[in-house]
Amino acid sequence: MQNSVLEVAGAEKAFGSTTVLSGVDLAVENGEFISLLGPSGCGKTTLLRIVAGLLSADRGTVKLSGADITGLPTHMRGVGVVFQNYALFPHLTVAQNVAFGLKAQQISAGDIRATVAKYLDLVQLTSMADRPIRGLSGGQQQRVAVARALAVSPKLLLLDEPFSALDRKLRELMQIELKRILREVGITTVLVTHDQEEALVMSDRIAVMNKGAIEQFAAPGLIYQKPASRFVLDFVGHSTRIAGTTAKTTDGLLAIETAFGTLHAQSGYIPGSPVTVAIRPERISMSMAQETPPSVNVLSARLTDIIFQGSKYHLLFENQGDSHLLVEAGRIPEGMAVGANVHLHWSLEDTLVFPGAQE
Amino acid sequence: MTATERIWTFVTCLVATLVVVFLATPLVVTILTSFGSSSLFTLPPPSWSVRWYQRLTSVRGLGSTLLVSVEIAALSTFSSIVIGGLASIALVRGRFPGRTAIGTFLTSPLMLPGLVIGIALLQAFRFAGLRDVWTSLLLAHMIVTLPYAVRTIYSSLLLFDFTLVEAARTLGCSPMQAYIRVLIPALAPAFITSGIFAFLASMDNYAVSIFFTDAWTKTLPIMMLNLAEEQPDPTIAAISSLLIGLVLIFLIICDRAIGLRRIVDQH
Repeated sequence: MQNSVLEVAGAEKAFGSTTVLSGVDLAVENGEFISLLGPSGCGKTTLLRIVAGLLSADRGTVKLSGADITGLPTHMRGVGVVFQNYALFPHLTVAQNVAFGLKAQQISAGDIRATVAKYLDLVQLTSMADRPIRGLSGGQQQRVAVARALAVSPKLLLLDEPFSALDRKLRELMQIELKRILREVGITTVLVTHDQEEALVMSDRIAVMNKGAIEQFAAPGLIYQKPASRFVLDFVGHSTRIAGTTAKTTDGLLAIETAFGTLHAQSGYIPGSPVTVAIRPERISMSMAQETPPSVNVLSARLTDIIFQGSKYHLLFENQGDSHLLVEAGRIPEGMAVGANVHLHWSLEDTLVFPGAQE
Repeated sequence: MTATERIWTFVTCLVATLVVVFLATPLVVTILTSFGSSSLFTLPPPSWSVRWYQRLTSVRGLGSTLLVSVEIAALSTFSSIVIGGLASIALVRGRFPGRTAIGTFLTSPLMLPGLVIGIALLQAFRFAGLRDVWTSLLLAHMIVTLPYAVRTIYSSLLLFDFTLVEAARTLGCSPMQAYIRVLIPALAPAFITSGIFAFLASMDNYAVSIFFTDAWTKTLPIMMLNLAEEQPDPTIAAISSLLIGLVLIFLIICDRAIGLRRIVDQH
């Protein structure tokens, strides 16, 4: 992998008796935007701090553009960081903040001015150059932090939950804006976040982390459509889950016995093992017709609730007691009302099977 | 405004005025007598003059005493800020047993009577074989001024966001450079505030200094008390007025530099 800008191998870290990272491998290609996605305590921030050199790993190596930087102190690494609270220097102006890193290097005053002007222009803050930090809005502060980190031309940019301090509308706006800026600069970026939408919107690839390990590292579409584990399924997006037990495999089709009847899937399991069948709720089609639609998996259930969500509807179904099935639809089919018996069907590719019964 | 509110406003103003009068009267009286012609402390003075200020030049040893006081105050303040600043960083950032105890211990001279500190230090210095007056005074004053530095710097460090130091390091600063370029400017108000309080506490100290002075090396407060005993005339009032002026200048500089409100808020 010569093209990798960042290569982490076997990173382990424990705080006292708590293991935070248990052997993490990660390779990020040149110019790529990846996300470390996971719940709090999954080790994503620890991994970011190890890459930045603000924390040292107990075991494992970090390579930047092929060079081993495991033992190198932070200031010699060339890794830029945008911190969660932006960490702007309150005693300096916007332009002085952007110039801060340049002043640590042997650069002439004229070159510093030119570079600062270039990056202020990039983040569209030229008119704010001489303002103090105190009066800036959250979005402006974030842009100053990005310009400050980029001004020293790092090889790699790390973003530590940079949108968590912004309200929702502004967050969506800044995600698009930041993506534009980073694409323009062409810098390799690692984003740490617990917000799946943020990760899905911004990343080329997402590494879903859980309990100090990466569960899946793939493109957003793949993470969503083919989650590698129950954890990834649960953490990213909604899903409809049905508990079952595997039966025989015939012609490459695995039969699974469930409370809703027999369902089919592709994956191979030994007969008799408890599994969970999962389907993304928008992948399920509904029909009121009596005849069975030509689909592999069909079940009938009673509609119990319709929840309006603005751009879409969530429909809840049940069959024999407590099994709630979630279906997402853009519109409610003609004549469908609460209490109706509905056929739910979906394709073989959309049928995901995970070992273990539903908890 | 209702009648009750009006009464309350009146009472508040009255109390505030009385407090100001109570605090300011002695200072005003001192300044007025220093400009009087009478050698007795009479008010109002029979006529105005600057003779007590002219007389200051002829007071034997005043210059050298003032020099000792300023030297001791400046040096003890500077070393207290350096030592207190470093100690505060350890207390805020470090994770070691006995942190709270050490913090309390460093500020404890503020709570002990000066006389107790003075006697204790006198015995300790004797025991250690330290006989030099100037050095003894400096060490004693460092103990008096250290609590001011520790207290103020420690409380501003608690509010300091150490992510700023990390940010500086990711921008290419070595740990040392990061502290100098980020921590020191952020703590400048604390350094100035604690510096002024420490300097004045040293200039003003009598209770501890009395144990370490001799006939040749003494500090200003001790000399003033000697003067008051030997020749009680408004010469001391003139010295006091000059000191009041000095403090006023300090406060004006601080107000211009960082704002008095910020200094008051820190305590």
